[in-house]
Amino acid sequence: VRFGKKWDEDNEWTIIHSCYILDDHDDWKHALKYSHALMGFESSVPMHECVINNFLYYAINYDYTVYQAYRQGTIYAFGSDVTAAAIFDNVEQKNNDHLWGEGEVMLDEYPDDGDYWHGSWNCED
Amino acid sequence: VRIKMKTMEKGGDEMKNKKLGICLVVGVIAVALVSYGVVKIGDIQPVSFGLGGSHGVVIVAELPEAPETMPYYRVVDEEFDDAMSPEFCRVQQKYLPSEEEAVRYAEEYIKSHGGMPDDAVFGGVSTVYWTHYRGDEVVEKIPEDIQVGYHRVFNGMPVVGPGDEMTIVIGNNGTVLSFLKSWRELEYAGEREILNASEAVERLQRGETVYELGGALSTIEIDKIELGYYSEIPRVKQEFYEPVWLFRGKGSRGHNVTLPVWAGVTMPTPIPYRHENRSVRRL
Repeated sequence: VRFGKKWDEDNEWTIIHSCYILDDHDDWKHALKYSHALMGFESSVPMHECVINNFLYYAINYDYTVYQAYRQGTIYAFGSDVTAAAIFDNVEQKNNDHLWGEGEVMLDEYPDDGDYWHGSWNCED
Repeated sequence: VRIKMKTMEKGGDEMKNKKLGICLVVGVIAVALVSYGVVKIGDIQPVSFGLGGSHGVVIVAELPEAPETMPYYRVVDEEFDDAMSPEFCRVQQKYLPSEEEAVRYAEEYIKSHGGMPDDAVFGGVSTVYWTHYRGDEVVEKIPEDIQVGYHRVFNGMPVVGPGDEMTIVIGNNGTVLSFLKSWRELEYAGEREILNASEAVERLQRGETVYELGGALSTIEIDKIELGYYSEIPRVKQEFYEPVWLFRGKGSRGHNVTLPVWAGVTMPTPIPYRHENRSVRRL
């Protein structure tokens, strides 16, 4: 997967609510040249707006980091059949990125070193 | 894609009436399916059909016998707790306990925070890792925390859906980093006339699942069919727990998949989702 300027110009975090979208996370590493994170699923997943509502609720009302909000939001919304995942450009962004206006946001990685971090979790255990 | 139908050699209606178990093998088609059909050949019935989106389904499971009716239950209360430590997902946990010890810490925490429900069942324990990649090479793999999960088996029936679950995340030396609990109190409300398994397969073929799966093309192989109940997302005002047929199996990439289909002859009215604010406890 290769992305042009439009994707990477000023995009920080992307959530794609689709089955298996991050099962081949290696395909998505090029999407993190200057973007910070991509979040999605490695398994099938029911369609439900609850996930994004809870993500925003945690991230805005409680100033959770982007990763905290997404992880807790997916555990809230799904059961053991769902495996959620994320890739971050670097570990500082994973640990510290907040939505704009809700806390600190790490710098874009420049120049991009091509490295990335991957994590996944079951939504029950 | 339209799929032709052939006549079954054995009397399907007779089998349906007797509610005998039969074996279905559902063939796979490799393209997205947008219309539904059945192919039945010989003693086994290869059946191909698509669901909403682009999922194909293969059933390799015996159709179980079913009772004429099943109880349904009224929700009279919901126990809910959402708590998180500022360290969750942010601070590297260098002193994680073993997974076995994590389960013990989790159970101690649950017992001291509302107690372990009688019908809670241990779902599993898993360590969450973050892996640092340089190209295709793994530079390092770091354990982040340990998740422990519980779900519900109500009156001997599985409950699917996230509304009756507990998930606890354990960090350094057994510290609880996150706790999510949703558990509804139920009382008997009456009986529902239910579909037999064969009729439930037809409902599945029509794509009438409790929820839709979204996204990329995949094939789901169903290897178990059973009855249970469906539990809505926490804080959703679910008035009743209704019986469902659960089609369980694996997706084409090996992940577990459950497709619930309402088991009642009359399907319940869908519950509209409305986000509800609630307080999140700080650990």
